[in-house]
Amino acid sequence: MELDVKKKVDFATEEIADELKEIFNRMGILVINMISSPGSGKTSLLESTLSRFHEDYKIAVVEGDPATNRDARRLERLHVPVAMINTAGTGSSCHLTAAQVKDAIESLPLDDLDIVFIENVGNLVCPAAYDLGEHAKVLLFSVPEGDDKPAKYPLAFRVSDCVLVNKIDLMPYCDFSMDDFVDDAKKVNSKLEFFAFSIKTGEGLSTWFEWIEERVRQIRASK
Amino acid sequence: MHELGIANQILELLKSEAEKRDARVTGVTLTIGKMSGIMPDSLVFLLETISKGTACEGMKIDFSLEETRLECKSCSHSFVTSDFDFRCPKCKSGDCVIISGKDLVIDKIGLEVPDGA
Repeated sequence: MELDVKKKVDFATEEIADELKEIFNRMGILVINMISSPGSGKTSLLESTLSRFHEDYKIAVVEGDPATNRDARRLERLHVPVAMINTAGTGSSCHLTAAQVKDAIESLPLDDLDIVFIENVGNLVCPAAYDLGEHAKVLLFSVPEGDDKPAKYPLAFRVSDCVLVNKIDLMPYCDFSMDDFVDDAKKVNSKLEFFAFSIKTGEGLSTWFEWIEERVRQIRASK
Repeated sequence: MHELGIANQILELLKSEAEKRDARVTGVTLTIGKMSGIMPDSLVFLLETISKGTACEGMKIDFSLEETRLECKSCSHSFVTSDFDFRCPKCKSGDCVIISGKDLVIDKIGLEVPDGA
């Protein structure tokens, strides 16, 4: 016999992502899912962002890494709560899932938070297919990775809300055309916002900080 | 390697359908969206591998790929993209939403039900 099931497989645990979004909205917490390749500067960006806002907002970090808690230790020096997800051995070491985030945030003081940054596993492919209940997906990119990546990794650019281009201090040494990069990215997602900066020199970071302030205001207003 | 988790989800579903009828699964037909982020070959290989020793061992696995279809919010034109250019080919607007091609669907399950059941 043949069963005509037509059943959608909820492989991305969208139900749990929706549940998380509802919790974050109710509590007025801005949640940002950070996607990038390994080494583009996610942890450095968090360090500078946490330093900038430590007097303004209460911030926590959900940290996903296939192995080690090195990033978590780096961030704990900034005295913020860090929930660590080691993805090795779970059969999904290439991305975080909403179910993992749900477990991880149990250790965070949600009643007393303004922002949660989720540092996804360094990977431009798999994290793009998984919602984590966030308000915004932020794609962190760096100049040495090359301006051809929006064409090669379209899904990551499609699902993101903004693209942060780090390491602009290396522009003179890399064949990187910002125009080509932005054009290709806009083909897959015309609504993308772009920020270009160097975390090392601090150039351009203020626009990113302003974006965060604006998003926190929006979340608080809609609570 | 995230196809392993997905293969497990499918296998659990197939096993439960088989158990309900005390049956064996002889085949499954899937539709895999081209924007789902799933590699079909990996998924089939893993399904074959993990179904060994279960009621799904040896099942025939068929799949078809679903195109990425978008709808333009400006002019309502519906179109398929194959080169990941998500702008409307008719009015050039970038305000287009994906209406299909992101999902994984189990279409059909073939079962061998014992005589008299």
